[in-house]
Amino acid sequence: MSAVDLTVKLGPLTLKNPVVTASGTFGYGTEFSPFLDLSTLGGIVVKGLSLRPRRGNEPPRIWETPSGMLNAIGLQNVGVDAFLQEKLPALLPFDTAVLANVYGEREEEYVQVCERLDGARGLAGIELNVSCPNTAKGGMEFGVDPMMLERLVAAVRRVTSLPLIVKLSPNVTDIGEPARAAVAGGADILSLVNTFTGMGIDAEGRRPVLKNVVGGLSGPAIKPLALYMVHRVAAAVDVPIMGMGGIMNAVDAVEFLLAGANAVQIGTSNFLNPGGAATMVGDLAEWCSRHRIGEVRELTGGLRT
Amino acid sequence: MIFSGTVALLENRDLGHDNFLAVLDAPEVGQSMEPAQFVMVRAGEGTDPLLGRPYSVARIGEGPNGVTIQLIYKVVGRGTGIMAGLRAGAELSVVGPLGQPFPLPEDPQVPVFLVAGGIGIAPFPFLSARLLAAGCHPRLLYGARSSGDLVGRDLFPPGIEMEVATDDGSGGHAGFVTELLDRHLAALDTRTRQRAMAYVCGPTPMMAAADAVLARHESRGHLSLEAFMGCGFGVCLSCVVPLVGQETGYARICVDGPTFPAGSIDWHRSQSP
Ligand SMILES: Cc1cc2nc3c(=O)[nH]c(=O)nc-3n(C[C@H](O)[C@H](O)[C@H](O)COP(=O)(O)OP(=O)(O)OC[C@H]3O[C@@H](n4cnc5c(N)ncnc54)[C@H](O)[C@@H]3O)c2cc1C
Ligand SMILES: Cc1cc2nc3c(=O)[nH]c(=O)nc-3n(C[C@H](O)[C@H](O)[C@H](O)COP(=O)(O)O)c2cc1C
Repeated sequence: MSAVDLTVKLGPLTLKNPVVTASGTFGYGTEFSPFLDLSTLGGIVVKGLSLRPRRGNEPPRIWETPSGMLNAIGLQNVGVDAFLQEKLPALLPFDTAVLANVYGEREEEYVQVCERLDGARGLAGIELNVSCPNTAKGGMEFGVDPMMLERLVAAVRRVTSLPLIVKLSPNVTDIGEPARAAVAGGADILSLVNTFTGMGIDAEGRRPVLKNVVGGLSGPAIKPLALYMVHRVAAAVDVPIMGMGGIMNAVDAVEFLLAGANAVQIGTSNFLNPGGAATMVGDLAEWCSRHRIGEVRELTGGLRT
Repeated sequence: MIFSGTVALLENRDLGHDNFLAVLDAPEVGQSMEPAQFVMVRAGEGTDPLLGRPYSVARIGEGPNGVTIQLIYKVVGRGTGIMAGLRAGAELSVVGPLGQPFPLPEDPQVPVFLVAGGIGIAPFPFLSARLLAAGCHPRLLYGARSSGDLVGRDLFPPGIEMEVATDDGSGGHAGFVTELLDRHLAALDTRTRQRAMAYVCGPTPMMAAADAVLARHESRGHLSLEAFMGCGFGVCLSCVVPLVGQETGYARICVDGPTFPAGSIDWHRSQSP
């Protein structure tokens, strides 16, 4: 069973296995030490970092939906400087790829955060969260306008030599377009999907359930949508893909690999099954060995149609 | 380590008025549990409902494999409704112990009040056992809508003095339990009052009222707050509450609480609609 080779190569980024925890669902990593050995994971994407600390939105910030949840946390985070001084050093002892998720309200903010992250000891790469409202452009998401996205990625590309992942927003008509734009701007890897914009309504109170009115939907409810988008992006571009959206177990992960992903990210599942990501690594190896697959990367794009 | 896995339901006793007592065979959770700490429980199969629900541990008992944890819960929605339908032998997924416990008073001679509102009774049988063991003499002040809602009194260790209040006057003091607290504190001399300790758990408006009573009498206390939680261990950032003097941020109820010292919650900011 241990004969299965789980390593995956995503352009400049090599992971010892394809199981990575998703931004905003895994804190700064060490919060999960009571539940699992962080060194079993292929990688960890930390909570979205902005230039300055952010306090986030007023509660209620989450709402449960059938097989899913809506969130409008508002990117509460410690800011890039505290991350570099306190959070990143705490992850140095672990043998896993640490990826910083970056958030900005303007192009310059992304660039400034990435400049600070570039060259940081123990950092394996940067993931740009482009599902953020661009305050300079009236609050439109960076990720939904291909031209704006290409410019943003190119601007960040100039200030860092770290592996650059662009995390696509699914709130578009054709996800192939922003995928191509991100690659044209210099993305090494694409990750998808971020949450789907949604809302919930309390009929009795005639109020939105979230203080922010709208939020992002995640969890098993979005898995079919996310699989389709991974499949679509794999056909549109030639760069490696990290797929996510509702993955709860190793079989879900296999489905994303078959759709065209080279690695997967585990999000909402961490909330209800905090040791689950580590379990999935073992289960994935077991699944491969049961199906006589010697190298997990054989699964990528292995969909029979 | 914090336990995360499945445990067996040993008993699910109907306490009346939609309240139940669940006994879980969870020695790994119970052995290091402290009063007011909680567990996240998922009852039922599949992914709907998706997230765990927080429950205080009401009692630590003896079980076939070591200690059991006992939860008192009230059916208010889907998660609690599904749990109420389970029989002995069912499996539940549990994460815990989680959160910061109620600190015990340094001096066992001070007056100690346990102030419970409705299902907020849950952490108090366990706390009472620990207080008695530490030589304290706690008095329970227990309020509910109606006398039938005053459940779980038989779960307390012997030797706890109890007084009840009901909104409809069907049992004990007709009115709010915070009025009982006010009356007791007012009867103490200033020095004793300032050393008195109250532990409070109940619905948010009741805790805000209790906090105001404690402030007025300059008494000490700890509140155990309620919130809908996504994870229970500090990463989803949903169960946040503003603290006094912390205008720029929030505390997380799950890891910074659920217990907070009296006077630390910014009720004004937390209740703005
Ligand atoms: C630390 C702690 C300890 C607790 N201990 C106990 C205990 O020992 N016993 C006990 O009975 N209860 C306890 N509770 C409360 C308990 O967790 C809730 O009653 C339970 O989660 C309800 O789940 P449900 O699925 O039955 O209800 P739900 O279907 O989730 O809904 C119940 C109510 O909550 C509202 N609601 C649902 N989602 C949200 C949201 N995201 N934000 C705000 N409101 C929402 C609904 O509108 C409804 O009014 C505790 C809570 C905390 C924080
Ligand atoms: C509470 C919460 C917070 C999140 N915060 C971030 C974030 O800061 N940056 C980001 O790029 N994605 C964030 N996400 C999106 C997840 O990383 C992931 O893309 C999404 O939840 C879909 O995967 P899932 O269904 O497995 O959760 C967040 C998701 C949740 C549920």
